[in-house]
Amino acid sequence: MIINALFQYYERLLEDQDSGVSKPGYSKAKVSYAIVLSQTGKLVNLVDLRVEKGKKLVPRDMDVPQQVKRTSGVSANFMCDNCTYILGLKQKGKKDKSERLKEAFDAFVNLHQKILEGINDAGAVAVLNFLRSWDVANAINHPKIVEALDDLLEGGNLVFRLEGTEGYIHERPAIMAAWNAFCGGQDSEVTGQCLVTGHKSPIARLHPSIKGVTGAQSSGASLVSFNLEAFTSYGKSQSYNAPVSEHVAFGYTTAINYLLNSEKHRIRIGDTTTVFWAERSTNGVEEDLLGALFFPAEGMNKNNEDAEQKQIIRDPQTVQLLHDIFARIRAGTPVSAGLTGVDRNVNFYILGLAPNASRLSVRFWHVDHYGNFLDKIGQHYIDMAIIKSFANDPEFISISMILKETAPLRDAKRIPPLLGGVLMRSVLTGMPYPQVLYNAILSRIRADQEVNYARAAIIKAFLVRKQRYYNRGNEVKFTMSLDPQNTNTAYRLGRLFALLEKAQEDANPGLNATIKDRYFGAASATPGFVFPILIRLAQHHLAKAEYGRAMDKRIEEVIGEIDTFPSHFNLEEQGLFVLGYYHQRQALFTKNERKEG
Amino acid sequence: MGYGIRLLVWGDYACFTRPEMKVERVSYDVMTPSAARGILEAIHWKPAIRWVVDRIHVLNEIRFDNIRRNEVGDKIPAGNVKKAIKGEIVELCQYAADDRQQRATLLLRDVAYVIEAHFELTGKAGPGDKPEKHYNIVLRRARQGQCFHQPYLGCREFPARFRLIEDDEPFPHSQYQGKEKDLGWMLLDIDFADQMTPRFFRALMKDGTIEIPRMEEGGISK
Repeated sequence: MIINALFQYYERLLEDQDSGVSKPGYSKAKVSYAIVLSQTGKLVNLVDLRVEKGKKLVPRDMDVPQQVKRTSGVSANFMCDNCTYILGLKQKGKKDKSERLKEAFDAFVNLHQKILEGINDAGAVAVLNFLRSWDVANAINHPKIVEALDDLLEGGNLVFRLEGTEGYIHERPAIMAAWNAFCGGQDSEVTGQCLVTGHKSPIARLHPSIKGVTGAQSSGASLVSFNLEAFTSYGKSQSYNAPVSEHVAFGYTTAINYLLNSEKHRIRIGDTTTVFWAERSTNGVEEDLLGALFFPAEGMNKNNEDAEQKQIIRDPQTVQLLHDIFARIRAGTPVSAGLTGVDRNVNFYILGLAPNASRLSVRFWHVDHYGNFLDKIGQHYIDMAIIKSFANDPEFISISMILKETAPLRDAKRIPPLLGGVLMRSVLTGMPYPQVLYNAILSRIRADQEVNYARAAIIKAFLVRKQRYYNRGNEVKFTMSLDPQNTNTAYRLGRLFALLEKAQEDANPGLNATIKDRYFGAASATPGFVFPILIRLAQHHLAKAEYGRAMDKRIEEVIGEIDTFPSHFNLEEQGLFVLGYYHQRQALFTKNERKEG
Repeated sequence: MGYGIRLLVWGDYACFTRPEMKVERVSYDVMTPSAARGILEAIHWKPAIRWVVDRIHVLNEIRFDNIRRNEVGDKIPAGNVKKAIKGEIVELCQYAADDRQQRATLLLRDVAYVIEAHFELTGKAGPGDKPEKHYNIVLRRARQGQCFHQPYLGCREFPARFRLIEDDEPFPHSQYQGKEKDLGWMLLDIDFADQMTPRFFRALMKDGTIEIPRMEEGGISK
C-alpha cells in the first residue's frame, strides 16, 4: 500500500531526468574535475566541471557510484574520489604523510582492479592502465596537473572521462553493470519473499532513515523499524520481521525523502507532516494546487505564524486554477468539472506522517482520483461557508486555522494530537467531521466566550455535514447568514441572547463585562436558569437605552416562537445556539453599518 | 477437499497489521487469511485438522481510524522463563509503568467479512477422526456461538462476533459488488514448517471477493 505506492513513485522519479534522485548503488557527490584519459590510459587533460554560483566556482552535484562513509581509516570510492585517492596528491591543509598517501592510492587501485578486472570495455581498460602506470612520486610534476594544481588540492572529487567519448566512464553501461554486480555481491545474507514486489530477493536488515518530518529527530526517523524487543516476533531480528528487499527499501525511502524535501509536495497540518503526489503529473500542478487548497492564499496574508507557508511562491497557473476553483465554490457549481490544466482521473496519494519517539507513524493515508479530492475539498469549503465577521476575514478557512481554534490561546502546540488526522480524513472522504472537533470548539467558546468567524463556521459545517449524513432527505437547512424563518428553540435563544447583549451595550456603552462574559456559557447549556434573569435585566437596559422601544420589538419578534426555556441543551443544540447568536450578531452589525452609511 | 463452511464475522474495530508497519501499526485494507484462520481455530481446532481459507468476502466499505495506546517496549525474556521452570528464582513480571511505549495505530472501523473455508485432516488424525465428525462439531459450535477463546479481528483487543451462514441462506450483500480493487501483496500466512517464514500473495478483490491461494502454491510471483 504505502510502501508500494512510494516505490512506484521512485521508479517514476528515476525516469524523470530533472527529479535528481539517485539509482540504487549510486549517490550524489560534489565533483570538481574530470580526468580525461586516452584509450591507452594516459592522462591527456583535466576538465574543470565546477559551476558558477554567485562569484565563486563550486563543484557540481553528480550521480556517482555510492560513496562510502569515511572516518579516519583508508577506504576508496569507486570511480569518483579526491586527489589523494586517485592521484596520490597531498591535499591542502592536511598533514598526510607520504606512506598514507601511497596507502590511499593503493586502496583505490585495488578496489578498481577487483571490480574492473576482466571487464571488456574501453573505459575499464583505460582506467586500469592509467592506475597501473601512474607514478605517485612524480604526480606533482605532470604538466596537466601543474596547470590546475591549486584547485585540485582543494580536495574536490574527480571523475574519469574517456577521450573522444560523451559522458563519464562511470556512466558507461559495462562499468555500471560491473558496479551493480559488485554491490549485489555484498547484499544482505538473508533472502526471502519481498512484501512489496513479491519476488524472492535479498532482504534489507535496516532501512535508510527518513528526514524532514516536523518534530522528528533531525538525523531522521524510520517508517519501518523494530527498535525494541516487544516489536519483534517469530524470533526474527530487526527488519527481517518485515521482509522488504534492499532495492525497495532504498527506493521508497529515497522517494519519501524527495517528497519531504519538496515544498510542492509537503504541507504541515497540526503536528502531522503531509506529503502528496500524483501517479503522473502535469508539471506538478496537481500537487501545487492541492497544497494551495489546504492553505488558501487569502488566509495566509494575516497569519504571521504561517511564515513558512508564505514563502512558497506558487506558479501563475496554479493561482489561476485556485481562483477558478474558489469561484466555482462560491457559485455552488461542481468544483472539478471542466477544469483545464489538471488531470482529473489521475490517482492521487496523500500520506500524513507524525513522529512518535524515533519512529514515524502513519496518521492518514488516502488514495483516490484527483478530481474526487477536488470535489471533496470543494464540499468542505461549501460546508464551512458562513457570513464574515470582519471584512478582512479570509473567505476560505485553512485547515491549520481550524485546528488552531481548538487549542487554548490558539497555541499550535496544544492542538489535540490526533485531531489533525481525523479532520483531514473527514475532509478528504466527505464523512461527518469528528465529534472531538465540535466538542473542542464548544468548550473553547465556553471557556473564553468568543464566537468568531472561524468557530461559527466550524460549528455550522459540523451540523450541516452531520445532517447530510444521518438525516438524508430530512435535512434542516443551515444558511450562511441570519435565518428569520428558523424556529428552532436553540437557534432562537441564540438570537435572543445577541439581542439582549446589544440592548445592554446600548444602555451602557463601554462596559467592561457584558452579559456575554458572565452568562454565555450558562445560557447556551442551561437556558432555563439563565434567560429569566437576563430578560428581567434587559427591562432596565431597554428603559435606559435611546432606542429601547425598537429593540423591545425585535426581542418580542424573536421570543414569539419560543414556548418555554428548556432546562438544558445538548451539544447539538448548544451549537445551534452559538450559530443563532453569531448570525444575529452579524445581522445587527451589518444593519448598523447601513444606517450610518 | 474437506467439508466447507461459511462464517460471517463482524466487529467495530479491526487491525490486520502490516508486517512492515507493525510498530506504529497500520492495518491491511481487509482481513488477512491468517487472521481468518485464527478465527476459525478459536471456534474449533484439534491437532487432527488443519483449516484452509478458500475465499474472503468483504462486505463493508473500508474505513480507517486512528488511535493511540500505551503499550510496553519489552518482552519477558524466554531465558528467564526457562530458569524459572528449572526452579531458579528470577523476576518474571514486567512493570508496565516503567516500560511505557506509546504507539499509534491506523485501524479499520465497522468491518464485516464472510470467511469461506474448509479443513483437511492432518497426519495426526487418529482412527476416530473422521471428517464428518469434525464437520458436525464445527457446525454445532458455530451455530451455538461456542468458542475456545474469543475470536478477534487481527488484535486481541478487537473482538469478533460470528455467525454461521447456512447452506440455504442468501449470501450477504457486499459494498464492493461490481468493483475491482488491487490490494497489493498481502500476508498469506507464516510457513511454520520453514523457519517461520512469512509468505505473501497478490490480493485482488473482485466483487468484494478475494480468492486465497493455497499455502503450497501461494506466494512467489512468476
